[in-house]
Amino acid sequence: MVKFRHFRFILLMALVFGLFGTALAQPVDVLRLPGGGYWGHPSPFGFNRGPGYMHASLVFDTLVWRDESGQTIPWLATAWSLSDDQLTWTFTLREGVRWQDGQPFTADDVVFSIQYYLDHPGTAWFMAQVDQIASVASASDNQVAITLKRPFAPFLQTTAESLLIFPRHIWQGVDDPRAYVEPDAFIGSGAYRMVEYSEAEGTYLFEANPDFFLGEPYVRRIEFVPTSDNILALLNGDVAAFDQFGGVTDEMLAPFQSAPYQVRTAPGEWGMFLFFNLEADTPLRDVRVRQAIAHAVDRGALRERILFNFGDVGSMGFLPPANPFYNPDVADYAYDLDRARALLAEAGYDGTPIKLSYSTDWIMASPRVVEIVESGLSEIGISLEHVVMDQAAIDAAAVEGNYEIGIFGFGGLGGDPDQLRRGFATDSPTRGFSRALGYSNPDFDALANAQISLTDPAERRDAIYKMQDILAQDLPVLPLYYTARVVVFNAEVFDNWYYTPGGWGGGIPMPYNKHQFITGLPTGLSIRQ
Amino acid sequence: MRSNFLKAQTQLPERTFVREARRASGTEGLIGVSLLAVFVTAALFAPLLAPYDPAAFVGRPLERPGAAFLLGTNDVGQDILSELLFGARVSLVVAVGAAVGTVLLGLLVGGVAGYLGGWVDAALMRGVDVLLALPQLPLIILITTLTGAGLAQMTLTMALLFSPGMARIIRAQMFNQRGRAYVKIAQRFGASPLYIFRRHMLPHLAPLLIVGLVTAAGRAAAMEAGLAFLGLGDPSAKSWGLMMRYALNLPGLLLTDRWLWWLLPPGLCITLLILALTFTGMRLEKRLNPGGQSS
Repeated sequence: MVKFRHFRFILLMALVFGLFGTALAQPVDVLRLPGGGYWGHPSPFGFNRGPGYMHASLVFDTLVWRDESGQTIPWLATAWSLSDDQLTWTFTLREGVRWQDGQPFTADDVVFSIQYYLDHPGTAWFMAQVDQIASVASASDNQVAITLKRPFAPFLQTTAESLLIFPRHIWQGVDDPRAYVEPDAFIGSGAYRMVEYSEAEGTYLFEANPDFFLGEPYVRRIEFVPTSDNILALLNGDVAAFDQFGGVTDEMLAPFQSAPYQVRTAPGEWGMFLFFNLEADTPLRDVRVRQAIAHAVDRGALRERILFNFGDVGSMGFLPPANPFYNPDVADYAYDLDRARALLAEAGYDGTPIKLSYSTDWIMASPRVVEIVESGLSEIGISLEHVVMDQAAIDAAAVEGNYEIGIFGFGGLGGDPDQLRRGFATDSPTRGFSRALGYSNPDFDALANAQISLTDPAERRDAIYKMQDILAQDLPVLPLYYTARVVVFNAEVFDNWYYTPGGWGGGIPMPYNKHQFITGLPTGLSIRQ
Repeated sequence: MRSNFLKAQTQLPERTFVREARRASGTEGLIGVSLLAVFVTAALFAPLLAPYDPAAFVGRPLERPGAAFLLGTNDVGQDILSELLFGARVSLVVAVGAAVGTVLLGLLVGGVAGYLGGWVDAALMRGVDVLLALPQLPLIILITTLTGAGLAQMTLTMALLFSPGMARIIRAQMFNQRGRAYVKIAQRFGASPLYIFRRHMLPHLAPLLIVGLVTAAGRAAAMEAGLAFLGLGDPSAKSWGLMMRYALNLPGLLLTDRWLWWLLPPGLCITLLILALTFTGMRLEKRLNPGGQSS
């Protein structure tokens, strides 16, 4: 009863302040959002994973960006063109842009940034395809020409849109960019200045840059603060929104079904996978063992018990149903323990324990996934040796290949399907949690390297469908599920929340596209007044 | 006069409190031992008492309490009551393991230091001082992070961290006994150190050891719950702390009445177990060591 009365009070206060709030608070003075640890520091090199990139993207810009339309929009570049041989992209840069320290932004900075990524492999955001770039040069005072090694259809979406451009005058002497945390490491051209952060506590504070090239941003201050329970934090007004990947019930959303709250959902573009390390000498090298595992893992149960049915079961072709290139007809491995046992027997599996590496950090929900996966595998006689780590350690193990089966989760699955080449082609230089190790199939490689130069959408789709078929047969990775997404927000604080089709920054599926904070509008470059 | 009067004023309530506590200690001990018996029974007979296999996915996720599931089901559809009963095993295994380890280590280090004295004593006691000076929770978090969150490592680490206090008490007691005439005489008659220890020292140490055992068990149970709650426990050992962690991991848990049957029971169990061990320890201490010389 007390709880109920308390609620009414909050509601009343929200209404009272809401009325004045909407009248007075335009633009948004402070937008407080749930923070969290493990996202690193927001320099172009110091961040971890999508949330870390999101912080850095507030401070640093890219050549182009995208809005709710899903279309490429001008950003640091106002125009771009592709040469007839489809090898050279020429970007015309915006005039009058300044770095946050007052220095002018020039074509030199763009050339320097991209050259820096080329000279320091592994430093660029993993969704950006730097390895496709042959050279970069300034074509005139405000033009940059990027020449590719071969025609690369998804260059704009995967790379021009995601490579952060940083100032030459600050970074030209820096040798260890990841460790560089001097105050000038956080000087970008972006709409927000990094004011303060604490990696350990997961707090990040950004203030609008009044000299930003599009004008002063609509949201004046963005604060990421630690929360213990996002639903309570939003109801208490500690934050103005939260988002969740999977695991959402009607009961959780019930308090937000009326004003001032709004709920927006989007399909799953973030997935959880079993990665089989085929570089390691384990029984997993036999495809029948992997197929047996696929038959023994009850993906329906994972969807019901981990996602509360808010999301999709894994497709063996890797891409989720939300991706426009999703092949719905790939081989499926129904939950069938007898079939699984038969495959194991055929493969001559002798009961050798297999190491299962996973993180207990709750952002990934892995321990619960392990329970369900293990219950199936123990039924068919596969014994698992648990290797438990924190998130940083498991991401490092993924890069080093220090695992046998790894439970990895990541997003970007709604983005360009070239990610299949990045993850599974033999010659892909990608390292990290999205890379299948030791997998090599010449048929797959041929398709993967052909599709990137195919400009005819139907032809490209055909190739990508076939690639998914091959993956479903070979199973270098077992996709478990894709989490549907929800963003819940207090519309009286800020109402312009949207999910970006295909993700932003190369495919990030979170509802934190900076465009919505800067402009206050779903599309275009003008700022809401 | 005035100061004496003041002293009497301040001492009086304290004395009454002590006396009342003494009187109550019988009840307290009874409560402690009975609660402990309940938990030990739950742990021993969990497979018979629990309606389901605690790891099996027997219901739909997040079912409310009903005939089939007296305490409902958790986020993955496991029976919470069964988890609770089996959880007693984890807590008790850690508590007993860490307590026995603490006493054995303390006995070894304190006994050797106290018996031999000299530079051996000095060296061992400096080691003990270092361990005592280190903050325990951060250290155990560090060690479990480095060695992996196994139940065995965690128990051993706790034993290592709790034993210095024990070692000091035992050493002091040994020092005290070593100078006694009967020990000197036994030595003159050629009794071996082990014989002297067993025959003359151990009986004096026994009360300290038993109290130390119970105290360490209580601390270990609390620490295991804390570590599991922080997500640093063994994820395959479903302890009460881990149950609470999972419950609180559900967004909006406290907005509904779900916490009543998911969060509260394991929390209550941990509290009662620690209370039981503390009461038992207090009672034993008074019984075995009425002078209250020990820690």
